[in-house]
Amino acid sequence: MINLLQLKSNQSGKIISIAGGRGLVARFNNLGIREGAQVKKVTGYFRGGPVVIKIDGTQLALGRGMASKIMVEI
Amino acid sequence: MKVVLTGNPNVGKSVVFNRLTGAKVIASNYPGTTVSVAKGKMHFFNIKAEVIDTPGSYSLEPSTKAEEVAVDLVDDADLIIDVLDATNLERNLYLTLELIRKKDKPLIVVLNMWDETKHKGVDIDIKKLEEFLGVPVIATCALSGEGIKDLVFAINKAKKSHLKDLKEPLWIEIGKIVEKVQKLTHRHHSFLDILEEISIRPPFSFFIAAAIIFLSFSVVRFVGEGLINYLLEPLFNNFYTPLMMKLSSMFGPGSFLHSLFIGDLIEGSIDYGVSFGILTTGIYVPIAMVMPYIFSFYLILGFLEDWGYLPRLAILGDRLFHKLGLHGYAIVPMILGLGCNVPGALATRLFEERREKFIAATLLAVAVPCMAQTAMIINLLGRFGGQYIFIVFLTLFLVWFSLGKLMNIFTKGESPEILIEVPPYRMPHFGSALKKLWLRVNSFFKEAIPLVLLGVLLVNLLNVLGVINFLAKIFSPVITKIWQLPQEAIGALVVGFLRKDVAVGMLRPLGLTLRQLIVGATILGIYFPCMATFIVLVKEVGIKDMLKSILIMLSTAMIVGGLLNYILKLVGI
Repeated sequence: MINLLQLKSNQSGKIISIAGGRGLVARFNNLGIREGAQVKKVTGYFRGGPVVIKIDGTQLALGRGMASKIMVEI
Repeated sequence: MKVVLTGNPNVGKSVVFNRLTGAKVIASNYPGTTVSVAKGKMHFFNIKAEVIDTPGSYSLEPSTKAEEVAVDLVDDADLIIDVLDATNLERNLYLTLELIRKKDKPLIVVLNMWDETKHKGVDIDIKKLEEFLGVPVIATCALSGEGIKDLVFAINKAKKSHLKDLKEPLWIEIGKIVEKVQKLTHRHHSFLDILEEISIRPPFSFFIAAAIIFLSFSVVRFVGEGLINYLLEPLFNNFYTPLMMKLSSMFGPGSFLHSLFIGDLIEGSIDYGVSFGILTTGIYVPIAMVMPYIFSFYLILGFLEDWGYLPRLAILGDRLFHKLGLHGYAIVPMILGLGCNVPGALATRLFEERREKFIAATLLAVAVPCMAQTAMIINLLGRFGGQYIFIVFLTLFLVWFSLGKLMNIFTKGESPEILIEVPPYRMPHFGSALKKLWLRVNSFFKEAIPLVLLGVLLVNLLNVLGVINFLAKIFSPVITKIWQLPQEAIGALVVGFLRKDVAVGMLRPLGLTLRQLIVGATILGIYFPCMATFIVLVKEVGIKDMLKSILIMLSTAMIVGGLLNYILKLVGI
């Protein structure tokens, strides 16, 4: 199990858990970032920039702190 | 009957709204275009209703102020039209099922952007979805108007869904529905997909961004200047000036009416930049100097918005904005602010935290010049050379950056992270883009021109009543010592509360040196926002934060004005 930051660009995985508070989990959930969902990393910036992922055909951009809390299984 | 439009951000609610009501609200291809509520009347055949457009929301648990507004409105609805992005059924159904579960109101589901489903390989069985949800499901392409008639006729058939007592977690229920009604077929990457990829993948993305920004500014200037030089100036010179000259000899130079309406004659003729009569400068400034740039700016902005580039720019700029205590999406209020600070100020509603709003609002008010002001600065300094215009904007950018950095350090709290949906690139729809452009230029005419006229009137009144002389004496230490401007420049600062374009224009008749013009134009940008922006900002951030913000503005103007003057002197300007 690795977090979204460690996932490589163009690699897909399944979200296993979200290591965040209730507020964050709820916000993620509303956007479709939830346990069990298939996620593909579109691109992640080396150094500081946000990570772009694809879930259910939607592209989302999220900060690195947030991305580090999303645990995935390849 | 009250009909409320709901749906995720960027599904096209505002376009549906415009179609239903004939009203006109701004619609674009980025989440968060609509930050306030719009109401309109709908009347088709025997169906009459009040229709309400709301900011998009992903769920009934709002996380921003804009979303909160939307959720509150749902409770008053007699009927909910839930607009979905058909290419994104799964994610969009979340709000739909929440509405069904928690609100229990008559509902119509609209699958908008239906035209896009085909080339995206999405196949949705509408009849089956209708059966599942127990409410009418209508496919539309609101941009072209397809399906809107069906939507209108469905209003009488709207009903409450039978799904109220769903047992399982929503995503599980959604999974079950989607599995039955939607088929995805694989398709090859299209040209737009590839473009999407490279515009967020470094390092190309940064070259592309630089090229797009450079190109945008060039086109704005080219179109703006072209309109002025080849259309408006000739029009004024050939048709309007003779008329005004006739009026001038009718009033007789020196009379009260003459100085009010025509202003001063320069060597026997009207100089629109200097005369300052209501019918001369008051008409010329908004129509022949500012409007061309408003037009060209919104032409380009509209294209970038509809194309879907702004969210990508937000991703690329995220790191920069983090240094200022904001996240990348703060690019939206800043870019809108370059057109007019008022919509920029309203767009601060997209932020969750008070700290973020405060920093963004202050930066916007201090260092983001609106297009009206920019046009006047170009006019004022352009005759000396483009590099002087550049100095003003470079100064403003440095102020923007350093002030943001300072506020990030000294304001308690942390910068939140970006979390946005990145819409696909879409070919701008010509008709809608034109309508949006017209809407914006028109609102400039309706809202700005009366204020410009009032501003010019104010200039004359202040002069006649001796108020300018009085204020000039009081503020003379700051103006003459720190900024090294003549004390009459106070007039521009006073009028700047009302309109920045008129204020910048007022610098010209003062006979300033080039250095004084640069310093004056920069200070006018920094010291205070115009009245309209100020009122919106007070509403958005609250009076307490606004007072803090004003303190920052005034001291920044003082320091930067003095420093700029000093540096320019050093380099010999």
